[in-house]
Amino acid sequence: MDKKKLKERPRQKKLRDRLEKGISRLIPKIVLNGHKIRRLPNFLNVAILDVEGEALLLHLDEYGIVANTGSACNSESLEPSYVLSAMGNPYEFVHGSIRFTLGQETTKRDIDHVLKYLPRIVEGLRRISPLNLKLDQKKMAAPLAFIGNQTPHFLRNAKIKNQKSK
Amino acid sequence: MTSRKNKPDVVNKITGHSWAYSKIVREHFFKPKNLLWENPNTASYDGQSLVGSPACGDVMRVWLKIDAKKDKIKEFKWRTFGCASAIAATSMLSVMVTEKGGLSIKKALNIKPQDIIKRLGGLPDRKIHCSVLGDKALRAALNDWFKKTGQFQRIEVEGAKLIDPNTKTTEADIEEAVLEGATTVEAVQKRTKVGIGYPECLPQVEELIRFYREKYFDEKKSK
Repeated sequence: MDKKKLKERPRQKKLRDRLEKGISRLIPKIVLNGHKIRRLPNFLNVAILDVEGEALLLHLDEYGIVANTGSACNSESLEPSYVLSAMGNPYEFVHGSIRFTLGQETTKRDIDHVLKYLPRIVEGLRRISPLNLKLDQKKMAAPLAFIGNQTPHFLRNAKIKNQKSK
Repeated sequence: MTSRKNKPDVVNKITGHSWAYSKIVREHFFKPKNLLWENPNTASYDGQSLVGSPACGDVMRVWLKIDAKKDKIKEFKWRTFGCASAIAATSMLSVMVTEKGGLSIKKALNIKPQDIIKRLGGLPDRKIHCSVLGDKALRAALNDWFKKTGQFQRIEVEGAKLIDPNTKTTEADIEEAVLEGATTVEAVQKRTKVGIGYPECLPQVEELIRFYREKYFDEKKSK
């Protein structure tokens, strides 16, 4: 089994790197979530600016591509992932973050399938998006919620939320 | 990696909430109506608005053309950053106000999020708050037009009213708490601290909760 793992890791890393390079070549305005080198070989988590994660997922799903938003430990929540936020990204980036997970069955063809459709999906969603975020933005641009122009509830109610989820 | 045309419902294991979107939502999400493709020529539109926040995950821009004589909406163009329900809800709203020769402004101001949700064939419970933005964007764009044309008496500002001066709780705070699922005075109080040290405002809070529950969840008949 260890032998298999030893073969599998570099194989998945190679595919992941292919995906990462392809995405950064084909899609403008993306940010890598995580450390450049020190990270697991089978994940790719990127923020695609000006588009929203769920909309992206549904379009990918139409092409039979399975991906996730948020971080792995936070996939069922609607709120921006606290893990990705803790890594220093503004909330705007986190909303457009998407995670691809590779496995033993993932092939080079699968990666190229994603690289074929993801750029056009992003382009389509960016055309209907009123946003134009800046890549070098480090802080939240407008920390206002849509109701009553106030601080977003996930900032204001962070304490209450923590108590609720134990 | 095969395409799945008839997808099974996605149900949250813990809460049992359904995630599936209706056929109409899917149609409006994948083929949105009345989008503004070209770069907006600000001067050619009568009313404009930008609501929401990128930090919260929903931003919407609306451009309106208005027939001043008939007091009707002629055109509703939009762009939205947000999830499928936000995109589909704006698209449906744009259809609702422009179909059959355009909706009168009076009727347009009466559109509730619940009406949009009905036309969409429903939304998952947790996604209802995503549909609220369209209705707000429409109001804001109409207010913009009222302002431009000097019809100040028609401008309606909502949500700014202070309910509890001690904890600085506004109507908007109550609205948000209800949208997040706090449907009793106790639950709203737990979130907003409204009325702690100022219980005189609680009857008003109760009334607001009822109002927003009816507005967003259409509970008039069942409760």
